[in-house]
Amino acid sequence: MEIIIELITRNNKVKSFQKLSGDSIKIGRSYENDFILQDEHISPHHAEIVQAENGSLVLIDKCSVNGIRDNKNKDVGAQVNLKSGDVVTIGKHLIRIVLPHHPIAKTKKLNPLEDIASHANQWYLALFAALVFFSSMLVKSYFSAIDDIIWTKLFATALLVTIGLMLFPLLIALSARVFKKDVKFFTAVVFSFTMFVAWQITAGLGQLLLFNWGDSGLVNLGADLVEFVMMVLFFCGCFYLASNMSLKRISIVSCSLVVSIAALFYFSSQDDGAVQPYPMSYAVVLPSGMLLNSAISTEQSVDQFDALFDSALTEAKQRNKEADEHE
Amino acid sequence: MAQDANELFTTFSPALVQIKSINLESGQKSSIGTGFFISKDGNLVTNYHVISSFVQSPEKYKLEYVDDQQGTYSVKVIAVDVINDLALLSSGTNSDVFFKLSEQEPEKGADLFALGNPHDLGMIVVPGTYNGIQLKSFYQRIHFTGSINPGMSGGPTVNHAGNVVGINVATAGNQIGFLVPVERLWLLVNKYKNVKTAEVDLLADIGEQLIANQTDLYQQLLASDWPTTSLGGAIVPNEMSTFMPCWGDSNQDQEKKQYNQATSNCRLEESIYISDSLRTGFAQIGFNWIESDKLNTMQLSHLYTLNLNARYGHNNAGRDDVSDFQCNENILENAVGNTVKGLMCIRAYRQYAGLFDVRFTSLLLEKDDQTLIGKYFLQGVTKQTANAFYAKFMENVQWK
Repeated sequence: MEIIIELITRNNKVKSFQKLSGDSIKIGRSYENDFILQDEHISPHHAEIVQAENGSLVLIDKCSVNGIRDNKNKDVGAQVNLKSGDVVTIGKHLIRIVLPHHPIAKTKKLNPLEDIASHANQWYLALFAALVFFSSMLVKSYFSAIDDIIWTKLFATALLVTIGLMLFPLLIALSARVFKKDVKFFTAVVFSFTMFVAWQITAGLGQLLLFNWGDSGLVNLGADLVEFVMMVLFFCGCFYLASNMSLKRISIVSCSLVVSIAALFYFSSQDDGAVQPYPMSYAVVLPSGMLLNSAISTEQSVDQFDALFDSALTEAKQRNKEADEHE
Repeated sequence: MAQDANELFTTFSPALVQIKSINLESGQKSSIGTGFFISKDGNLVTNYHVISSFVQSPEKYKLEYVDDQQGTYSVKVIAVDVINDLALLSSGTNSDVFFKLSEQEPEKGADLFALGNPHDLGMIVVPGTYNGIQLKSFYQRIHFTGSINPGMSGGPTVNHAGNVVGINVATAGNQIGFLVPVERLWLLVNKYKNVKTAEVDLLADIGEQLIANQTDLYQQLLASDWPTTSLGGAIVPNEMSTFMPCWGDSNQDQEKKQYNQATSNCRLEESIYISDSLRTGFAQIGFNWIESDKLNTMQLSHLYTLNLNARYGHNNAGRDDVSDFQCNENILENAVGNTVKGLMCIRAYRQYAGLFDVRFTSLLLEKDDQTLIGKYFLQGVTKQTANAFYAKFMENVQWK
């Protein structure tokens, strides 16, 4: 008789396995056993697997203190017939008994992402990514400093933000540990800070659009879309590095997460429709060299203002109508 | 003088009443003022602002007057003049004693007597002096040295003969009071001589008055060439009219400054009272010039952005009076070909169709080490006025 005993987790991940042969296979804490389990809840001679006359496997409880439980957590009693692949609990351990001819899953092709992730898992790449982000923070605060610059303050603030954002890769690494994925902390650092830098770059591009084409609906819609795509990418990366989910599952989970976050933001920013006492528009100014849009004449702009007068008037009428209906 | 005052008081106290606007829900008075009879058939005059709550929501208020015998009677509105803060009322009963309206302007320095009911304390007489028509003002007001107190609003100011020369409207602090000249009242009285109450749609009439007034005001402002002055490296309009004085400031004496800044702000300080939540007719135009050789262009752009978006102008409208601001942002070209970034924001009045509040903020581009930020905020203007003002602004704001 030749069998394989796998020690597995509750999520059916194999922790270790052992191939055994013999007329009977003894399981217990004592070193005399064939399969030894170090757990104080397991009796020294806990169980034994033998082959019956008809060839089927039988698991026998050798009067152990805590007995043997099946996959429904029910005591199996003095003995139980086993099929290849059955799982039982002995003490606190889940073990699976498999015969050599047990079917196995198809071979998976090596994932190129995994390759990249392993290559990125270098301390110098992580340091570089964090440094790039730190410098981008520094440049950003330098460009918006309109008072006397206190360099130590600028450095300290940028460093604080960088260290604060280090929480993301730490969280990824921690989750990877929890979900039994191999931990690639440096890859997580490289990935997170690359995303943060990309975010800064798109924000800069957004400013350029705002400067040229103004705070119009189209620019805002585009900015929102880009933001969503980047968030989806970020979550995909996080889940990939932190869990064993399949790529398809990761993308579904990330998309639904972003959609739910967007919905939450939308609902939390609802207002009662009351009039705002001041204009809400915010105009961005950049150096004239970044001007890409062409200027329109006074006549052309007056034509455009027509639409403003019309929409303001329409809104006023609409509000009057609502007020009348309310009464 | 004391003799005069005493005599006036005894002669005219039956013609002087207190006007009350009563909130129907609470049964309490919501505003009080003074009123006075001007004709035998019982027509009364007071300030528009004393009875505005009734005019705006007649279903929520009623108007009463209390005579010198403490009798309370109801009173109706014939017509109002919001520009001059006047209201013509009808008591429906004859009055033997009434004030005559003076037909000529008093001499400067003449003694006048303001009559009224300040702080709900009872009728009083306040002697004072006529100082002529206020000079730097678009709306004609008599400058009167004497204390006009709250509650005296709507009361008459009379000369020695007891004829009305003005109507009390406002105070500007100690011993400085403002009166509406009696000519304005003459206009109102003559226009509605044969009109009975309930014939005038008061709100529509107010809308027409506002439109006519803004046409008048901006015709004066836009007719002539604006005087210009230089502000740093740019040319900006200077005082466009005596009623739109300009004030300037700079950060010259600021320590550790990274940039130089000079500002000029011209404002029409007077506004028209419509209701407790809405005032209109206010206008302001302001410029802010910034230059720096210490900041780089990105830092300066950030500074410009902050200045361009700084809150500008008082909001004088309640949430139920107007629409939201609708805005349009563009790169514009002014009359001499300078490139301007402009943000135009417009909101409409709900009650007075055709009137808008217009706020424009702009910034001269092309020179990175300096800029001029120009803004204006016009309240209660028509589309035509707004566009004319915009065109004039684009003609008068430019690089030197």
